[in-house]
Amino acid sequence: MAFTTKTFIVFMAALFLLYYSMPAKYQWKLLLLASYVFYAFASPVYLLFLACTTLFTYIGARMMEICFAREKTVLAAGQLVSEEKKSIRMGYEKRRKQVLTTVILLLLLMLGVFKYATFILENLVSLGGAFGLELTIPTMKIILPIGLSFYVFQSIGYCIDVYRGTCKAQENLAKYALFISFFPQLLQGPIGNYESLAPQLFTPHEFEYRRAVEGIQRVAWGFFKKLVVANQIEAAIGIVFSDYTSYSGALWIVVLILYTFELYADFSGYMDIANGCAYMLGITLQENFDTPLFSTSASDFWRRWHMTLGTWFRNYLFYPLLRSKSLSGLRKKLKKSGQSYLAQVLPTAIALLVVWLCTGIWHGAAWGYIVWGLYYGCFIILDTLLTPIWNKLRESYRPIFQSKLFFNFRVVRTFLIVIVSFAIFRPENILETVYIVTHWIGTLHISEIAALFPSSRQKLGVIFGILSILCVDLYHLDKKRYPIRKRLSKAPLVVRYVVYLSGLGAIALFGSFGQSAFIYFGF
Amino acid sequence: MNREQVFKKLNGIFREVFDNTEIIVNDETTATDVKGWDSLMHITLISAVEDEFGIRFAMKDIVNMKNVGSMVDIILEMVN
Repeated sequence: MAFTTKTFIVFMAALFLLYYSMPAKYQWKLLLLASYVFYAFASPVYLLFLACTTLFTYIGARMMEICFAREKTVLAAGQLVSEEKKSIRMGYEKRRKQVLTTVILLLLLMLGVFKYATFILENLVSLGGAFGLELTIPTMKIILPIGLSFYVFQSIGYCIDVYRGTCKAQENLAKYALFISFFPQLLQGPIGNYESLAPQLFTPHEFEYRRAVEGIQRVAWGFFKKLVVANQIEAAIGIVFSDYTSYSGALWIVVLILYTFELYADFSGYMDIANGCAYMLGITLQENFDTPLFSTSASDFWRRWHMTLGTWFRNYLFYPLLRSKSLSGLRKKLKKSGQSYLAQVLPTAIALLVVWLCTGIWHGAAWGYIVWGLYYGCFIILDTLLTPIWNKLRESYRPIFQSKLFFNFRVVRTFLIVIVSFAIFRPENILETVYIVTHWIGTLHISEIAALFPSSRQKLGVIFGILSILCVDLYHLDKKRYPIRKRLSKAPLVVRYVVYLSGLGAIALFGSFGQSAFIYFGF
Repeated sequence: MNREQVFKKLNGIFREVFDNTEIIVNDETTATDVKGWDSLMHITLISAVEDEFGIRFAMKDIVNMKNVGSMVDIILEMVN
């Protein structure tokens, strides 16, 4: 069930009324039912994958929890010397690790089959062809269940947290099923963290007028981003990508800039609707975006764009890699030999390379995503390598580094890095990317841009939409400022209603209401 | 080792890792108070602290440390 459909609006309205009119202790059960109904709208078959993921990880987490309990009992039972205690701890630790490894492998296998099998088989056939071998591997199209990458990652994160002892395994299977399936975040994130999300899901919530209003405001803002900005831009530039050889010159730069706004409006619009719906139900989800278009470096961009995926990779891959015997051993070895700079940056660079390769692969089964991940990896590694030099320069030329001009330069430079990355991300194959990057230098006539937007309604909508997003983000750039929705709620009644009606009017006037899925559904 | 001694050592480590001789940390200091303390520098800092005190933090502590105060609590628990 897509968020921007009438069915979802009716679904959410009915849920909202039921949620606050029923005894509060049953609210979480209603949320579980609603989440499964919501997912069944995509395809009832997908429910099987959701249920299997939930069951695997529930059992795995419970087994690890039982290991913890037994370890505690054994350690407390007798008079043990420290060597015995150590050996007992190691024994249980080993068992927990075995359970965790099995669960993760099972989930990755499921993800691998549904997300990457076709890609791997097709590449095997091509590779065989290159060596003169005619491989007769059946290449079938396997359909990826929507949201699988998101809820598999959320489940893995939960299991690792239980393994580390960060959180206790949930005893109630139905409650755990709700944590995995909570509908606002099920299809596209934000990838939730058990400790912050679960207690909110199971706590009874009283109706709060303020929360309901702010939630609806955020949902409306998400609708505006998706219908006015993302859909209208897609209608304009979709044709350019599908018939890419007919276009050349600097128009490609304009198209890539428009795509950057489209993807941002699409993905962050989805998050606004998801977070807004959850907020209406008394639940605060993690934020996934923080004014990313004003980032000052590639690393900074990824601290502000798809933040929950970045946090996931940091906590469950980057840190463990750096703490692994091989990389920490390398660091110590380099430090001992007096190469302190290398000791600081080399293990980090290796870990970053792996993380960005995985980030690329996570986005999809295509070489383009792998190259795209490595592209960011290179910039972030470069950033890490140059940090000590930048720090020295910053000390020596403090007035320049702290100037507004230098900040603006960094923002523009990062924006360029981002738009070029989308020349790798958006195309369906590497050949298309090569075509774009070899044809984007040339003249540009204003009529070429105008031709992308056949109607003035579309043109005005996109301009108005992009300016609105930029203004709101620019406002939120100053962290000391009061969030714009809270500020609006304190404005006089007339001002508030002018803003509300203008927003709704803009959606009605400029919105593109056709069937269009959110881009990240594909991941 | 007492809290004061741990802070004294930590100040030295923070100054070296973040290349800033003016840093003075306290219980309430968080990543937002120290320029350059991001996820990459966090792990460099953790390694430097581990080397200095001869300890090894658990992964849950690395991820969930709320501020320098909680880091000091963990160090004291491990060294004493």
